[in-house]
Amino acid sequence: MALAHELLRSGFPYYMTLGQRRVTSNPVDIGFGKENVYVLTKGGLGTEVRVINWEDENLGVLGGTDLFQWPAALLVDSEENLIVSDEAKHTVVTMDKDGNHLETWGVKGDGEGELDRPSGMSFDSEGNIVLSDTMNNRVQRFTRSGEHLQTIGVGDLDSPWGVAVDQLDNVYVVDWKNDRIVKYSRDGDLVMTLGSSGSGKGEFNRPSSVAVDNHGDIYVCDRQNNRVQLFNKEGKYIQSFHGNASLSKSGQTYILANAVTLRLRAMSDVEKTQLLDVPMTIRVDDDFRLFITDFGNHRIQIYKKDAIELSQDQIAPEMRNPILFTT
Amino acid sequence: MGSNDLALKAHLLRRAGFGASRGELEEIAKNGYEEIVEDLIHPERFEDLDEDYIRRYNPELSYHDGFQNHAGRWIWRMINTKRPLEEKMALFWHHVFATAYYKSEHVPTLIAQIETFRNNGLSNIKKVLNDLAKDPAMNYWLDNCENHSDQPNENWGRELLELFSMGVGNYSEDDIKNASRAFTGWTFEQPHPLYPFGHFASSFIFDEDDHDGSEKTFLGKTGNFNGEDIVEIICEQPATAKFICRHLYTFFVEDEPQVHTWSIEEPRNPEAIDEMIKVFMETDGDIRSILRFVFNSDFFKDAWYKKVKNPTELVAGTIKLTGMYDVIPKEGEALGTLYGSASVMGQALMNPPTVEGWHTGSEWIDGGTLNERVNFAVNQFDDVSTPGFKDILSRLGDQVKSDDLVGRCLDLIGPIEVGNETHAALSSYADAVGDLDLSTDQARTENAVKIARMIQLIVSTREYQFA
Repeated sequence: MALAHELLRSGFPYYMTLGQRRVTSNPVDIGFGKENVYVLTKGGLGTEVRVINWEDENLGVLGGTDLFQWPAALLVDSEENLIVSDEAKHTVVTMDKDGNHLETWGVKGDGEGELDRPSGMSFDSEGNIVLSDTMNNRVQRFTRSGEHLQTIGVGDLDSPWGVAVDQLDNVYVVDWKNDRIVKYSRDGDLVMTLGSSGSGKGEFNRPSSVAVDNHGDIYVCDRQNNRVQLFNKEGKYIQSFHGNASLSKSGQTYILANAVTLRLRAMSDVEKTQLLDVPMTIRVDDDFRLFITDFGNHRIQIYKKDAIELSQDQIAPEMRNPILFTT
Repeated sequence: MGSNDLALKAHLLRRAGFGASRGELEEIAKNGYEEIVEDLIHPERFEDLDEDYIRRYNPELSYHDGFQNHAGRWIWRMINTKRPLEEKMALFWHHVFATAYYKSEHVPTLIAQIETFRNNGLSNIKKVLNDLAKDPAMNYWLDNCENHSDQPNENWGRELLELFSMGVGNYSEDDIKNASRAFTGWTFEQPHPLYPFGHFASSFIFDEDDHDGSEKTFLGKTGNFNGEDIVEIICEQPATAKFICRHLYTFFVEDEPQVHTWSIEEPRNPEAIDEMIKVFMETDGDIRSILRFVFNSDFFKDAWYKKVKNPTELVAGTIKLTGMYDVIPKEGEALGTLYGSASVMGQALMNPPTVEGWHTGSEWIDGGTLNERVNFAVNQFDDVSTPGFKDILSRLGDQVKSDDLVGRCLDLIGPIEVGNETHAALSSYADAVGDLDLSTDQARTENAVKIARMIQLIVSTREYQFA
């Protein structure tokens, strides 16, 4: 599918918040089924997949530390099987939507097809898994059952984390310790790098995740700057998301039932609670919704892009210089 | 200067830091003693610790439920930092200004307090006390948020004088009342509640409408004092100089009687305390200057093994010898374990028993805690594959004569000096294992456990309990 020539970016407003502490505690990734939302959690309040729905109701947990210890990423396939990468056991685990264990593959090592702390994952257009092999400083492509297909990024990367694959099967890798995103073609050729160290626009502080939507827009989870940055398909900075959360439905229900909590919230500054706190992973869907796992706040913040696709004849050609005389 | 010089520098690193592996010690010891002291008291000369990996693989550090992992991260910092005195000073002030989790259960403010100690620990007493008075964790711990202009609460005012600056017997009840009035309106921003999104940070607020701005008389001075004025007056007092210097002495030089006895128990080394007080008064309570004087003094250099290691020192120092809990965490390493290990020995960091803090020195040791201390240290050398043990093994060379085994091992994990009785016991084990061949991989593998046993015997000695 061809990408739009340009976008009229109307805005990217806040959409909703899902989850709360003790339900979606410490979320590290999110995936979607036909009706359910799967939230991968990691930490002292639970290492598991939490199942909720769009009404923010808690439907229970799947998996757990017997299957994965340091889960990093979650994929949900068309049959709603759940695939989890585990950095502690150096494996990729698959279970069905009821939590039944289907398959585990992955062996620790640095040889072809071996893994050392597998982290970020994304499907390619054929349903293969593109996987960050963090401590081996590379990305590998595997079939669903773990057969090695390709190695990408050798010599370029330092402790890669998140990965994304766009419609054209280009691979975007979070080059974590180098504070940048590296884009590779389907064949593994380096196409573009994006970002550098810092806290300004287009700069990153240990980014953790990357996503690409169907417009080719690139989203970077700038973890230690507590924000998500949006770039267009050429890598031009568009805007940042610092957080604008409201109460989730489950959070509102909890607070309304607790008089002291209600009073303390009334005494405090709401603005602080809206911000992102160590966002971990971002995902975008076909409806141009952006999902941010707001790890430190135990919730998912969701935003929805409002943009109109433009053809080449609708918009003036690119200008080399800025101008002050505008209409 | 030979091995004695190395041993003196090891003594300095045990006291001003948390000890050193042999490799670290030899690297640092390339500098002269006074130069090492200057490096220690100027932590900014060294890069701060890279926390990227520890935070990536310990996501618990990115939220604020439970303090144990955060306390464990602190010990991890002690193990890995190139700025050991920065962490040691944070621990020192945590001893003096003991603030516990169990009252507030609010982790962000506890973490912020330790960070404040890390940042201001080597500054001057006035800054330290002013920062403390504005610290939300302390404010709540000692009820100053309940200290209102029309209804004073004297808890903070009392402890500021009794436990944090001057000590009992150096002020009156009226001084406590008036100091407390000066701190009315010193409170903190209400943080959002734990549910539904976890804890949020707080910060100091001065509520002028709740402040008693009327005239007060404090330690003989009269004025419309605010909290900063009280701190200013406190810092001018010789009693404050003596109290803080005594704390520094007992933490860095030699175990003193417990703090609560200081109004009746004189210092063990009054001349040393007097010299420290002189530096304190000459520098307006500059902690860096006092420590420079202490570390270069003869009384410090002669104070080997005059302190029982606190549990945190024992845990951090022993782990440093093993090379575990490195900058890149290994699978299975849990920061909470570091906290838990010190906790069962009697020192739950960030959760001291009372505002008086921990009783130190020989009171660290009882039947239960000694057992925990010895078991912990011994267990760390059960594994002969740790980087630290492998380093010790490689430094022993190809052959170790039975007669040399005790001395070589004592040297490599210290240098440590032991008494005759201990030496004899260690030697009897060395005699039993005989000469050891370490010249081939196979021989090293076969004999590694025998070396590890010797190390385990050493870390379970009485002498290893002392710094």
